[in-house]
Amino acid sequence: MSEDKKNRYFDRELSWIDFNTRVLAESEDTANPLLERLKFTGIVSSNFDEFFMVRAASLAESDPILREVYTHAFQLSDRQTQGFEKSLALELEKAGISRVSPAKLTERQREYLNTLLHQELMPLLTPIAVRGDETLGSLVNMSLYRVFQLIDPKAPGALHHAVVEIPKSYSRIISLGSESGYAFILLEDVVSLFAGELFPGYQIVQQGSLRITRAAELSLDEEKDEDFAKMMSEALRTRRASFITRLEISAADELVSFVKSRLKIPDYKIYRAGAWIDLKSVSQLAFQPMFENLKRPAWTPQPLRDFEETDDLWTLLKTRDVAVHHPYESFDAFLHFLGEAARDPDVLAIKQTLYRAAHPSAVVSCLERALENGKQVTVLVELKARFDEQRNIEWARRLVNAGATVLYGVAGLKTHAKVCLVVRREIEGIKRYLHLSTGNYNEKTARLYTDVGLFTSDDALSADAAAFFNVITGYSHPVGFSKIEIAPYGMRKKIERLILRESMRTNKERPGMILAKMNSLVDQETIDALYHASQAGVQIKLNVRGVCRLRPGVKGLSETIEVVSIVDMFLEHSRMFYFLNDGDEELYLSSADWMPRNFDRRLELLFPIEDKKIKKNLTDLLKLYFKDNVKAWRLGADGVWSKIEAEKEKRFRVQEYLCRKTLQSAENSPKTVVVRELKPQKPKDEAPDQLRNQPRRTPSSHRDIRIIPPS
Amino acid sequence: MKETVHQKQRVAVIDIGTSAIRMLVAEITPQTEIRYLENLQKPVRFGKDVFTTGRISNGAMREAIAILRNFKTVTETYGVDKIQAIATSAVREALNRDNFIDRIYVRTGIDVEVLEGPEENRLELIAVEHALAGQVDLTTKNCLIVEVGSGSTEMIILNQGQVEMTRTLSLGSMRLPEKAVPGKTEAAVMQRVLKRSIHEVAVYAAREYNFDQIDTFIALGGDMRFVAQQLLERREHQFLTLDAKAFADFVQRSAKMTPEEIVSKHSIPYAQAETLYPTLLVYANFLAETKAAHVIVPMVSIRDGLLLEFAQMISRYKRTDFSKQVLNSARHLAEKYRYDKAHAACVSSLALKLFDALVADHGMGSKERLLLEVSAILHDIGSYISPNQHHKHSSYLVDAAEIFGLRKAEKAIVSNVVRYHRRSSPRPTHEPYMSLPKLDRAIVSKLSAILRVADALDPAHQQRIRAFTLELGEEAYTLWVGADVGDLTMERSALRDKGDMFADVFGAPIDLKQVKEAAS
Repeated sequence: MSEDKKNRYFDRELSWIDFNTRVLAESEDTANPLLERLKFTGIVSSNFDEFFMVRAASLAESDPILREVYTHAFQLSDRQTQGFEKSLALELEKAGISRVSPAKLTERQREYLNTLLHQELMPLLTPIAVRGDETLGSLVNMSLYRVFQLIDPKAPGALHHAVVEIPKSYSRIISLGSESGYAFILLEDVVSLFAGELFPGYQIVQQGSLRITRAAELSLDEEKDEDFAKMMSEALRTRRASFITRLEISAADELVSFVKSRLKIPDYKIYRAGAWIDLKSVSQLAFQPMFENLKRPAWTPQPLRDFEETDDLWTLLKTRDVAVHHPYESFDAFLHFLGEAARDPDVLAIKQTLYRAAHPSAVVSCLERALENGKQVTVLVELKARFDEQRNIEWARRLVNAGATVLYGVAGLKTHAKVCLVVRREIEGIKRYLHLSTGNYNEKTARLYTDVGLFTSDDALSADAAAFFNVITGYSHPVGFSKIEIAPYGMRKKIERLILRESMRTNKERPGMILAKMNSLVDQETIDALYHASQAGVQIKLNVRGVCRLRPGVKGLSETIEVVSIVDMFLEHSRMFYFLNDGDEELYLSSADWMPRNFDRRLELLFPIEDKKIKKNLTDLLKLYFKDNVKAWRLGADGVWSKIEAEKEKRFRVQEYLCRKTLQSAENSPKTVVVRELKPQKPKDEAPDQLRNQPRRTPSSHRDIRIIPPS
Repeated sequence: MKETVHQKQRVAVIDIGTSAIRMLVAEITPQTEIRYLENLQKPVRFGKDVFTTGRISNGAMREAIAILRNFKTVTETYGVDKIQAIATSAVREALNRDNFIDRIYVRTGIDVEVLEGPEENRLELIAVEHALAGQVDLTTKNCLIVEVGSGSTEMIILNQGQVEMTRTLSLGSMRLPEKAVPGKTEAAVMQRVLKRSIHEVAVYAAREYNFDQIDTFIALGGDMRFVAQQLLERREHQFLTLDAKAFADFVQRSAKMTPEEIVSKHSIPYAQAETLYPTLLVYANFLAETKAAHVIVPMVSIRDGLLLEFAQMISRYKRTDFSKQVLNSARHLAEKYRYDKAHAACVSSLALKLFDALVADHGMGSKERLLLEVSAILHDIGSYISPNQHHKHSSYLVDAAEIFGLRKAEKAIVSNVVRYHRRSSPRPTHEPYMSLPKLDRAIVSKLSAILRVADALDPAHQQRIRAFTLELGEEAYTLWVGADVGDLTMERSALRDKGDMFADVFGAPIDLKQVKEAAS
């Protein structure tokens, strides 16, 4: 890359590492409750896992930035490890949560572990000897291993080596009975404790833990195979054979060089971990029952008032649009919509995209219900949602068995758009209802990710959505859309045009304004358009949570551009773009970030918000993000992110404010009980209300939630 | 309330073209309001197959069936009541088209009708008239309608609103003159080649209609709709009006761009980008043959014509009456062969009178009545070739001609009716007759029988008998004519020759009698 270009755009990977640094800062922030900090440490690790599987894997060996990326990443991991060992672990201990080392086990605890080992663990442990000059090529991606150096006392001259995979099916944190607080031991420590039994006749000289990360981007020849689901299963199996991007190891030097030579891996890819390798698992402790004083107050998403107060969803949506903001408002709103559609005898068909569904998924259950009731159900299941393939294949089969038309998307393009279309036969003719969103149809992540959804019955938008389905199902080529823009067709151009128009409509008296919120800003052409707009005098405020390649605040280049990032308890995920447009304001929501991948290689949606009230509310919301002075970071022209500190002004934390505001409005709402009129139905739908209430009654478990970096 | 529900119908029209299969799903009301629900299109490659090998390949068939199955799924989304599917250019010309149509029916349940050029013209005209309704008065203009497809170009000339001429030309974006290859041939060469071919078309057509009279140019087709949308931002009507100069400039600009540049500039599929320039050139050259200053681009297609026809079928509210256009086109054809206009008019008038008087006996309807009228107009055109066997000449001339608005099956009926207006009646050895479906054979017999009687009443081409009364007796039909017509020897003799078929078909002989002078 030329020097000029380098100055014009920040490096993408380094900017990503900066994002993870901001996440880590949350774990270091002592103003946060202890277990909340622990969660952020876990997130830093899980973010890095994906980074090394995907991003680091995508860099060419010859790319000069490669070494720098590894250096930065491992420095950050060091900072994380230090922070954990020197601060978090000690404070946990103080609070009564302690990791017991094998040496400090009580007799009873030892006895308990011994029983556990022989009754449950032993069959899962398979030592593999590494003989002669055998490689360690068969190590499984992301699995934790214990590595041993052994000698045979009868022939003490020769060193022997072996590895044991720590079973993934077993919880890594094993609770121990304890007189006070909470004591636990890590699974690998248990293995280590009884390792002698794994190698009878040998003596253990030294041992350590290790984990490898492999490149994971799937590339498939989609033209050739017709059974896409079957092919994906094969791809999942072969994933482990791809090349190694990182070795994390916690062992003495000698053992490290042994592993290094057997993996044929260069030094710069090796990370020497601390006493707790792979800190992702610490977040499990954060969800430990008890210790409520160490957690942040739990947030319960509030019911969507508009839906609560109506007994006829369709009539409401014919009157006006309704917006929903997660996780302040509950995902139940969507399940309500889908549940109504599944039971209503006048509904003919439901079409929707499923990118990352929860597991088990209330959405899938609703769709199965709709199928039982004789609706036509078309689901576009995206099998290439990164790391979720295994799960996605399951729903796909379930839905096909229930009679749905399940499609796996357009070859070569991931379907990232979130849209659900309901076709209803009414007296006035066919009416279509639509839900469009920035977030996935996943009731679990909807409790953690901030996303905005829109329910509408607008004819033009519905017609566009119907046409969009014809494109993503491969039924039709794009034939022109009136209100939406889709990637990879017109979206990039549309964004560019909107920015250009703002540059043309700006003047001294009334400068143009662009407000944009997204997860990542990477696309160079779009950044250039923003630079150009800035030079024309447009005020540009960007709220970019993750990667940002745009260099803000540079005189003559980007003087009027401000970039902030919010990293707080909920993952900022909504994409909203506002254009002043000389007073004729326009606001768009989108599933897409401003990245080449989203513009050019994915099926994405951009849709306008036309309802005046909703437009005003969302624009106000967008502006609020720039007032945060508690959890916000500002990007400097030098590429350094610095925390915005409240000075004289009042502290303002946008996520907290929104929680409060949502609660207030819930309290102020008239608590009228709406008696749902029983409508005549087909005998099949006997318990629609049960269905609708189901997700509310089951408290969702936080166990397997992990924050996933920009998707 | 229920009634309202039933008045709305959800229909789908499918158009199997040369380079794409397209479908519209819509809701139609008896007031011929159309509410579009879905618009789909998927490319196919029939053109490559048919225009080189004459057949649709198995691969292309499978592809088409898969597309139609998907389309059918979409129709199920809306509980569509009726699907009408048509096939045009490439399928029409494919040797294995019947096999293709049958496979589609077996695999998808969709019954595809192969449209002939004139039928296509008729649907286009319905769509155009609808799009321009209330804005452009076609009855005050002389107008050329052109649609350049992938495999053929449709051309309609309207003179003061009347169809003057229709043509289906073997020229399309995938079927250019040999020297022109889209994306390869230099722009200037392409222009020269196309200019020449289109000028030839105009010169040839000028024998019937002079292009200089044309003051209105209407361009149909996806490429033109695309260009219009590029040149004009907003539209208030169902059509756009482009300045001829602005259009020419656009064509010039496209000439200078590679398909790649067009794709990236306009975000259209590569296949379309590749043929955009030659297609536009065809339009531009037609435009240049006229004196029109504008290009009117209706934002409709043949599919809208099908939908409108659907709507009209359920409504009886406003029916586009095309019988006038059909007759006009038939007269035009007859003029080309220097027919005896007065005789034809007289015979058709008499034939229609007979038809109407015999309704209870023949049970035929308005469609057959129209075919009878067309046959009466055309029955003698074969005399242009030679008076000997002229009924046979008439028959093949009809076969070879285009008659606006007549389907292929309908034209086959006309061809047979004129064939049997004299001499032999149908026999099992007559192949064109035997190859007709049974029902159509009956229609041919009945219509020929009537036409023969009507023709017999004007044997000397002097139009002496202009009216009659038909009397149905116990054993025979009697035609009563006035005493003023004079001597009927010739007519009686002609009727003896030609009335045999009538007796066979209607089960009783027909006599000609004259009212006695005394009556007055």
